[in-house]
Amino acid sequence: MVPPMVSSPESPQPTRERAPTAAAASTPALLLADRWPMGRATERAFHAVIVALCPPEPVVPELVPRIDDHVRRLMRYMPWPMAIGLIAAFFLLDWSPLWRFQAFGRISGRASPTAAQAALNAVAHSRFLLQRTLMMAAKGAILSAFYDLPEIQRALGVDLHAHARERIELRRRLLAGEPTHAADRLGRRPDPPEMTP
Amino acid sequence: MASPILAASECVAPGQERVFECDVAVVGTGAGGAVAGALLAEAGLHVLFLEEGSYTPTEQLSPALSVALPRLYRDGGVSALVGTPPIPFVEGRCVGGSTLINGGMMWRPPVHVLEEWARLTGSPALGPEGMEALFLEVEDVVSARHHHPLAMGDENRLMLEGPRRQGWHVDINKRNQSLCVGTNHCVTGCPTGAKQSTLVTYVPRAIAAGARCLTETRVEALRIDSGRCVGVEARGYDPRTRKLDRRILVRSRAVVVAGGAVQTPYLLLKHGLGRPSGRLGKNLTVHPNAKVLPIYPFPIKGWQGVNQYAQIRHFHDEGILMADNMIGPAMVASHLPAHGRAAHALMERYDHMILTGVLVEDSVTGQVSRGPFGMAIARYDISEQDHARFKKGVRLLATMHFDLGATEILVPYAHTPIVRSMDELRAAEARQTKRSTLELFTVHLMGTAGMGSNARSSVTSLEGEVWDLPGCYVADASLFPTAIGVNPQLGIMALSSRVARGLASRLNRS
Repeated sequence: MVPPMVSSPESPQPTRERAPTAAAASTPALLLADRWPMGRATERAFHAVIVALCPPEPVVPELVPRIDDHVRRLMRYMPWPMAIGLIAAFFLLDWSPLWRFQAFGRISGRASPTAAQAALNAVAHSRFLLQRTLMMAAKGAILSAFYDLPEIQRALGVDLHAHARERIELRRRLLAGEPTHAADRLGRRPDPPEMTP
Repeated sequence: MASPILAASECVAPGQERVFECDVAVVGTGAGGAVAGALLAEAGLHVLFLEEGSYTPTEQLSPALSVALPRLYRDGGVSALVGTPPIPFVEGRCVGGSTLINGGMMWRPPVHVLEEWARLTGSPALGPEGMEALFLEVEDVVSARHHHPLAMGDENRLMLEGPRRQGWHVDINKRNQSLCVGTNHCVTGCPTGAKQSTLVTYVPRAIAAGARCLTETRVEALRIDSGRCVGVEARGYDPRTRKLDRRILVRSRAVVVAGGAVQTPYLLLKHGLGRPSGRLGKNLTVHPNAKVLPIYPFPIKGWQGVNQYAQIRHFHDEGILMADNMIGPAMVASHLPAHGRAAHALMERYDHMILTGVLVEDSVTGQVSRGPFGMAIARYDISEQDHARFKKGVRLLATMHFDLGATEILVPYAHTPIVRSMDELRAAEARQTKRSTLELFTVHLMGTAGMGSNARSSVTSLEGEVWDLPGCYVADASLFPTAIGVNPQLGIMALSSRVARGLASRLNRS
């Protein structure tokens, strides 16, 4: 069977190779995009919202740059109007004390993270859907990045990667017909009678 | 193409154009596209898949959202339906499509739904007996079966114990899995290879039969010549900037569009199709969901076990389904009604949580249209009837969780998101009067290019061919004449098989 024909002159001749597997690690498809570009003012607003939304503890080294990196790379995969909308949300949230007539300052100018969190709390519980949506967008992007950090997950007693490795090994043993052990069972509760359909 | 699966950036230089020829161009590699492509390739046709997302083989899948969201999810997971309330939705954009990130349910559309399809279309082929062989075939290919006991976690056990105490009927799910071991990373792509998504089933079959796949390639238009669809026009992404900076033209004898119930009508609407019925993009059904997140006084480790072991179907006659669907901490955190210290006070008990949800069958339909800046706009407003059913479903689940010992429950009401007793829940329910303060999400989008036997009442024929564009076929959830009330994956695969078999037969005859 002949693979799809290629007509443009710069194209290499088609060949018949099988689907790549491990070799695909070097393909561009497995790279993540560059960070979304931001000016200094945008970055200041964005970082202020990161600090205000993330819990002050557990303390994580390089917290702001790491969340900045996660969110800005992800923005490249959004339709650009959505990415611009997210930037607008960061600005509006930074200036929320002003437009909510609470204070003349902005969140990035506040010394206390508690005061900044309180300002955003007011937006989160607004009766206006648009204000709640602003917070939902910013919170979704930033808190998901925060709780994606391995050290934060470990602080919660969760190690998704170790669990995956352990279960991959279990599956390998099951496929090889090797015996299973009591420790392979997940959880402590007794099996209910409906468990076996 | 040197390799059967290549990103656009690997075979087309920036600013350049490249032309491909094949028998069938298949847009998408999810439950619809992959199945169609595999069957067409195995029928001896030259198939070229065009996939907007990237290719991530099983060994590269990661539970980290920083990897999964950009690689596997459309728009990085930020898509939403516009309406009252706005409803976030997720769908796959990767080789494997949504089958790579879903919970793996394999439910046949209920008999009464298939009977309705047969009645609406006037074709027994879409009825229970007509579809039986297709369901059996797909179930066999993707290994739709119950689980090995070692896959089960405490979350799954609680979700059997709870309904039993209430006297409710529970069905244990069949899932497309082969020796699932309870990693519960379904929504970030199964790292064990146990979930039989199209990434590990139909796509490899298609490739083995000679199909090729271009990834990171967004199809933007159909090529039409003398009223017949003869290919597609696409652009390829630059992997670093995500700019669509290279052109790809595909000449083919037929095109199968399988981009899902939002992207498929978006593409077809560009050409003003669906005129005879005026129904292209309409009839959008979404199975909206609401979350109910209890916190127990004991650890459950819901992140270990089966993603969706069972469904509470006791209230199915009322259009209400309930199930568990625990996800990783990063996804849970993004939906909390708090931030800062308050969010962390909740997340410290992540190990004690179960994410459960209420799914309501649609009583209304929405619409997909072409918006500005190349965006599809999907509009959907829930009805007051749905609102009432959500409140009932939330109350039922909360009752079950409090009876099991939960001390707090996060409910989907914006103004009272946390309750600690049934009295507090009743008060919260009384305050929940506006649909706009109900927090919903969805993963099942269907029905926007419905099939039928009459061009005046449907968008595609019973063969899946667009009535007013010969040579253009649809093979995804857009085809559903009505919502099905259960997870749609099996229904999509079965209908796609039907479309592909018919198309292969016609192309091989001509």
